[in-house]
Amino acid sequence: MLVLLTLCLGIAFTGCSKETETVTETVTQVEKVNQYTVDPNSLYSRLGGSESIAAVVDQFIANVVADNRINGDFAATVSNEYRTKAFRNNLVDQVCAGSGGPCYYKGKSMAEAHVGQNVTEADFNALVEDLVAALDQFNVPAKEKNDLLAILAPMKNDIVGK
Amino acid sequence: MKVLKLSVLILLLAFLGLMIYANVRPYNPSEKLPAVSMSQFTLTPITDTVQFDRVTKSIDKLSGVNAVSLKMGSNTAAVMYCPDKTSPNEVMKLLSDDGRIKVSENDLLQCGKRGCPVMGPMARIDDMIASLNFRK
Repeated sequence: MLVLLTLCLGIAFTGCSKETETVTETVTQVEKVNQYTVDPNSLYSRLGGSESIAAVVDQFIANVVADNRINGDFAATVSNEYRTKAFRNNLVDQVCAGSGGPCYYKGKSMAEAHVGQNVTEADFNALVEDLVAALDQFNVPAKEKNDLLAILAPMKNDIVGK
Repeated sequence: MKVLKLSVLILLLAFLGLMIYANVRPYNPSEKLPAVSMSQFTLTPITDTVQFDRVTKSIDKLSGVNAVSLKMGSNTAAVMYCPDKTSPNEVMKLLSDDGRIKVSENDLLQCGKRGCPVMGPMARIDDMIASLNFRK
């Protein structure tokens, strides 16, 4: 029985790392599995689905880490592989869910996460600049960019000055 | 011996239950994204456009690099990469442009103590369940 248990655990954990190439298939499968019909006119669809959102989020995080105005606030997070992945995945889920995609955000609320962080308006604006730079790098059209920023803008009150 | 058998049986049943749950619950596409690491570098600011293009393109082409942030005139660069496929040393080699640029990797822990704390309290458990999800 112990052998069986060990074998099960072994099989389970070999599935941890997947190649990027399988992501496209994964997204379609997830949409089926989650029984969530994505509106083809939703921002999620217009942005190109989860794979495109993940690419923009990766670039956004890289921009933030290279941005000397605010990277000190993220250094501890991205110094750790597990926390980097969790942070990236939470951002992907948040944008995916907020734009009408088949995802659910599992992280803390913005208000809860930023208590005691003393984030200033200048910090927030620098972060938005880094996001806009990432969107521009992927040639996201102005309408989609503005729609996404409009979804994220209300979060400012939960992040700044807490 | 009976207690041991019973304990193993309970553990096995709990594991099987968790595995079934992991494979029937709705899940996020991000669960299937590969693990990533970040590295930050301090470098001699690049002011030459040709050199900037050459360095950016060479890093972009490197297998396993998800994102590069390198700006003209900036002394800081950041790279997100898949640790299974490449390493900070390989990125640093390309950033140095055959020794023309002085580059050093920063210790991120020394750069700041604060961290964006969005991870929920169930993050580790969610991750364990996600690792049992065999659906593509």
